[in-house]
Amino acid sequence: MTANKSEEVFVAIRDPIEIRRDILECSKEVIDSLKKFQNLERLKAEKFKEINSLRAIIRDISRKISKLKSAMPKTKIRLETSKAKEEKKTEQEEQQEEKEEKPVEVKKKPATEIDKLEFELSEIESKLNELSGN
Amino acid sequence: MNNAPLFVKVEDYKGILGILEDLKDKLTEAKSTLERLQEIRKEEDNEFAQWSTTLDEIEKRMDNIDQELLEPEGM
Repeated sequence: MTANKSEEVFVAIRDPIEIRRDILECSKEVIDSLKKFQNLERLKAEKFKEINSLRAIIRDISRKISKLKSAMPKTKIRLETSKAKEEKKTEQEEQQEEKEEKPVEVKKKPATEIDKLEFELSEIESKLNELSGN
Repeated sequence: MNNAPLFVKVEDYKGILGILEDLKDKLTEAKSTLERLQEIRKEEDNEFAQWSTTLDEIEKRMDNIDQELLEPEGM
């Protein structure tokens, strides 16, 4: 610019102190936000730890349920009512028929953990269906 | 499978009760961990809400500065 000093134009700022204060306040709030970010990082780390702990507890519960299942007696010593005997007989007949009709299903071994859990879930669901069918 | 009663040896019964007690303890532990996770989530939500307020505040101040600079005196 080759403008003469006498041609220079100035703009008046009405409240420069207020503007300066606004800028400083903004800067303070941005720094506060960065401090909050540190706190959020801490919460994230704690959440990760608690989630891992919950996963371990749930796995433990799963193991204990399996233990409970195996602790239950496997004997067939039961009081059989005459009605139950009849039901058992018809059930056996039905099963025999099903065996003749259906080819034996070959269950694949689960690969990943999700597959394993899905496999377990389908096993439990089929058992529950068997129970509700009786 | 019928619904007739099943008889369990006393020792086995005691073992089963023991496992059930362990299961109850584990469930209590899981519940308290879950409660802590819910607390953390609340704290996180609170942090985000504070961030939002701060950003609103900064925006307001920027608008003020903007207004002051774009509409100077005598123009």
